Amino acid sequence: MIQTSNLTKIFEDKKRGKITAVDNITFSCKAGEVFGLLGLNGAGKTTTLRLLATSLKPTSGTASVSGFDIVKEPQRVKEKIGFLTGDTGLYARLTAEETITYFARLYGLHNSDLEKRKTEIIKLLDMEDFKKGQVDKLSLGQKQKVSIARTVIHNPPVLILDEPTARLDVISARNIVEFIKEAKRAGKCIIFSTHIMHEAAKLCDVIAIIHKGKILEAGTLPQFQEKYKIQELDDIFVKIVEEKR
Amino acid sequence: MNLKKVKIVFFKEMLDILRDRRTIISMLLVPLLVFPILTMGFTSLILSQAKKAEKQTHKIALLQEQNAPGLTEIIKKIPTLELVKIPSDSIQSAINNKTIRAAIKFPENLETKLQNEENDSVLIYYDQTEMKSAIVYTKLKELLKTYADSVTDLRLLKRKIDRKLLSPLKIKAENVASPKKVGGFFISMFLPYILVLLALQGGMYPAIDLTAGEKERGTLETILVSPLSRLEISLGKFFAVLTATVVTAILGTTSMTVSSLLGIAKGGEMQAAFSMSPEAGLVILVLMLPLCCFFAGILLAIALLAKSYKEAQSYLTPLMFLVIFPAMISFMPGFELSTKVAFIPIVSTVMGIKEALLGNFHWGKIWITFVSNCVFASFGIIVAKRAFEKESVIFRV
Ligand SMILES: Nc1ncnc2c1ncn2[C@@H]1O[C@H](COP(=O)(O)OP(=O)(O)OP(=O)(O)O)[C@@H](O)[C@H]1O
Ligand SMILES: [Mg+2]
Repeated sequence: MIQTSNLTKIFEDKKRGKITAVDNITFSCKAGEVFGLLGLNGAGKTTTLRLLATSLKPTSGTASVSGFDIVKEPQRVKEKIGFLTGDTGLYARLTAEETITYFARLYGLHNSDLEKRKTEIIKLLDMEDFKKGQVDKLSLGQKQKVSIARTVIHNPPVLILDEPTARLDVISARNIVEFIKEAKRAGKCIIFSTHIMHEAAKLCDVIAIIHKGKILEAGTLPQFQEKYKIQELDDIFVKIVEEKR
Repeated sequence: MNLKKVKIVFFKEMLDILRDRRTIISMLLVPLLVFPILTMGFTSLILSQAKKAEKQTHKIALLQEQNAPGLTEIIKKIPTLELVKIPSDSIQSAINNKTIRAAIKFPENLETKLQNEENDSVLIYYDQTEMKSAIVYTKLKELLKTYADSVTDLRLLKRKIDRKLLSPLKIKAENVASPKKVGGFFISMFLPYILVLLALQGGMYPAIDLTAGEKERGTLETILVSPLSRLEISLGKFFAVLTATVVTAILGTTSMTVSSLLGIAKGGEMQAAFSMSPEAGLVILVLMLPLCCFFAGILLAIALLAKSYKEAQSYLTPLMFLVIFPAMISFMPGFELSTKVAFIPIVSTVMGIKEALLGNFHWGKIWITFVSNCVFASFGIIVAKRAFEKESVIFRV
């Protein structure tokens, strides 16, 4: 579903000069699998995910998402992904329903298809009570649901989630965790980034440790535990990162 | 590019900005209210001030009044003038600090001299920058002139000469400009300027809202990852901002025309009826539309550079000045739309509209203006599209 090969992104920054945010990354993630990018601040998680979502262009290397090349067919890639981050906002002056309708239209849904899918999503996420509410008057949890609805309105086979639980309270964060589990059951390919270890440990099939733009190691949690003879993921993470210093 | 998607973006942006109070104010309220308020406020203020000044009693001083006892008596009888004693060396400061409004200085033995058929002069002190002082000055001048005329009459009578003999030729003037043309002249000065400024102003908040505003609220990334090309995004936003500029300009024109037709500006020159010929309407349309496109593109491109609403505002304020100064060319008398001018953006539009309102249609130059404006408009659109394609602009950190 996702296959990157030698993906690299270099930013030209006026003050800092060249920044290699993503350095020659190669990994893959299958349908029904949750792939976790685990890294410190500035490790390159967001940049990697933006490259996959085609909002940034790679400096070199490429990736294929759901069978489409991110450089050659970005439009097709976008149709196949749902993208959600802790920072993405919502249009404050639209209602929940209008927001969903807008994105549904952008994904090419219309008329009865659109209505059907909208009703489905609203029911699924239990949004009936506040669907007519203007977004900026909704609670954080309700906004979170609108964001999720926007992300999955076109039923994408691939989900790209950048620290989706950042800045959320416990309950809202749990909603997201449930949402990821549900998506995994539905056979979606999910790549998500976090620096919250227990979340990664709980959700990820494959964990990739990313540091200074490079993937230092990738594997399942039991593989890591086996190799380093350490139980806790945070300890494993620190060990791997320190070894490379 | 898929036009259907551009349309979806456009309608969503329109819905969004029409729910924004700031846009409503700048796009609807400002153009609708600015003219009635401006014209009504200004003229009624000036009129009432002038009326008050005429009725008020003003203090004046006479210097060396013993030289003109007769004149002094006449002045004393005028109810709106009050005589005050001021030493001659503090006249200037007395006028400056408004203790008195004006002063007259009579020369040595003025009235005796006049009786002896000698001539002399009187001096009036006043402050031209003070409206009340200027009014008193006019009054005193009239008064002294009437007095001088009476002295002349006496002298002529003595010699048995008819006064008419002194004025063999009377010069009369008649203004052949119809009230409509006079009104048209003033409107032709203001309208182009106002139109251009309103168009820019009307597009400003939507442009900020749809670019820097989206960055600030974190919604920009959601449309970047939706299946829209950068061109579709920029065009959808472009048409929304364009609509705002055009609507603002149209509302402004309507409001200005209506308020001058209704004579809201009572007493002012704009009171004269104003009617726009269909050709002038066409010229306004032909010249404003590409300029609005240019504005919309530039506004979007510049506002997109900013990270936040505030930053975008500070970027766009200088642009306002860059537009105000060329637009002010419409106030300059004698400046005409020449072929060279037709290539200068804003100036060409302002001049073309001004002349059209005066009934001068230089179609050749108007088309040059149109074409050159279209070039600038495409430049504006391209700049906006480029900005949306640039990673360093979209993801500025
Ligand atoms: N648009 C940009 N221009 C210049 N440098 C950038 C840009 N975006 C990211 N960077 C730099 O690239 C590096 C990786 O950033 P990135 O945002 O991908 O990290 P991250 O792992 O997501 O961090 P965080 O946990 O803080 O979100 C950082 O050094 C960052 O400063
Ligand atoms: Mg990040």
